[in-house]
Amino acid sequence: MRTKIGLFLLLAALLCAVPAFAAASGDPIKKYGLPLLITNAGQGPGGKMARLLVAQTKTIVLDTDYWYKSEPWEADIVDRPYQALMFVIGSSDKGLGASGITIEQEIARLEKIVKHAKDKKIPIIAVLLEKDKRSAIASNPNERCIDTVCPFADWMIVVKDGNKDGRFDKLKAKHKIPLTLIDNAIDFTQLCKQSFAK
Amino acid sequence: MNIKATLSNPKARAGLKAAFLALALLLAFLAGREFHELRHYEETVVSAPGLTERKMLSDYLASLEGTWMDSPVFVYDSGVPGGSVFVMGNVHPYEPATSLAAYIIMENIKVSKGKVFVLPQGNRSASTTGMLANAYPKFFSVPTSFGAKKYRLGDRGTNPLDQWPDPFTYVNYPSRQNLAYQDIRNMNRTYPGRPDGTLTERAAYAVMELIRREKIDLAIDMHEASLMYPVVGTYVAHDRSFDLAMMAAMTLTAGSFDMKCESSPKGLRGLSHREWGDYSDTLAVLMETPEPFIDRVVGPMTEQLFTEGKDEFLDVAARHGLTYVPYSYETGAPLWYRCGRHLSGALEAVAQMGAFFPEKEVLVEWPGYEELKEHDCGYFLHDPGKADPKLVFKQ
Repeated sequence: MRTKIGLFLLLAALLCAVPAFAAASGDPIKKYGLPLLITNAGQGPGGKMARLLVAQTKTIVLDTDYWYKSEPWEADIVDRPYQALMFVIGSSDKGLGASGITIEQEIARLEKIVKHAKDKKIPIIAVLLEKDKRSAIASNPNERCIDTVCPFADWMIVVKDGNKDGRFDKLKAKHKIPLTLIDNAIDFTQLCKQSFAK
Repeated sequence: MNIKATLSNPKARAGLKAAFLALALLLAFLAGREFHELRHYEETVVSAPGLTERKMLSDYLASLEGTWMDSPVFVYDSGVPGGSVFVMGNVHPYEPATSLAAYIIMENIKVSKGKVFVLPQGNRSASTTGMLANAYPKFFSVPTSFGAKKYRLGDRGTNPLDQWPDPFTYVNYPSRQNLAYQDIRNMNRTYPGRPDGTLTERAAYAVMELIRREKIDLAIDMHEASLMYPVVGTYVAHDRSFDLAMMAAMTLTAGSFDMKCESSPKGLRGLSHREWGDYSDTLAVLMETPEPFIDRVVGPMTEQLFTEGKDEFLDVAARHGLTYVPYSYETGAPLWYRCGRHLSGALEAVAQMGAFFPEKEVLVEWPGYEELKEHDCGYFLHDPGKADPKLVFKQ
């Protein structure tokens, strides 16, 4: 009997140690309450992607359970009792200029928001959904956004091919941040279903 | 021979001038023959039996009638109430995988709900001249079981024979945004167009009128892009169509080929993905597929480079991370790949429109990426010699 209980506990521990669906790997899925605020780091399409993918859960409702703001400032992250702040990393291929800002302005804004979120103890979730939003050049806007947000994150969710160079593994090791990998951006819906509970 | 003495002799000078004139005329004749051949070559398409109507752009703006911008629009109406889709190719005819994709749609389409409008030659005038000074081949061929089918390889802008001269600065109407002077002949910088503007603006206006009058729910503009251009392998979507394009991109990436999605910038005027959505109720989407042929770093501009997309210089650029989509000399970016991306890209966008807006659902079939990968393009083209003459069109 004791052996059976032991095996059961071992199995349960194993299940808790890995994400609960096949398309996710790495650290276990973390749980957060709602409401959630989704925003961009880099003004690429990633934030809107996340907004859309969370809506596909059909259980977490836009403008009720979660909000999307492309360029929030300090006041915007405390206007509701947000349980998490999700930064989706990636700059626009059409050029950041299309957003009417420069990368320097975007980084300055991100630094302020990240600091404010830490002060207010709002957990930060850093997300990379577009595998091509990576570069070997450190001064690339995407890399600068990663450097600005990820070291302060509570959890990193990254599409597998965006971590081919192990960049996020290094951030995980250096800053002791859990990292969950998903096979494709479309798998983000299933992950959010499990992560955000009403 | 003393050149100075020769030139001081009036008779010798006249003879020399005549020789140069004759040489210039000979070169002009030879070049003119090349231009004439491209200008007047007609492409053949065999429509699928579901064709219900053939219209012209001049049906939407009468002043286009008799001009080189007038172009046929093929309508496939299932008769079953549903949404409507507009697919356009060759707005930039130096990106002719788009017109070939439109022809493959026309030759194989089956619509069981709603209706589909296909405009294979968005800028017909531009398809009748090559990129001036770029040494492009005039034509490319697609092998089929009944022989090679030949298609025009055109320019980016309207043929200067039809619209000339260009101004010092082109000002888009009505945004008043200043654009490069040559963009006055670039149809994808002239939307929403105007009925009394330049020939290109009038064609753009006719497309807008088609979208408005036919109450097009989803309008798809097919393009090709150089691999060193950031917006390659991408949907560019208007605000209202962004969600469906994004969902389509993620679905394709998960199951078929990598596809990105970008939001249409509000500050860039004259483009289909912006103005179609702003000046009509349609859901506007532009698609870009990778075309090595138009990259700046490639070697000789040959027909083979166009059809196979293999270039060693681009391969080096890709290895140095200078391309925005993966590329290798081994695989290249062949015609089937580019057409297949457009065909599946359009199908997925149509499917997503039905998912997001069930009242606008269109049920349609045509060959997609996987079918072209298996059989190549020519397999899906039909022999005009054996087809019902009523379904054979030359343009």
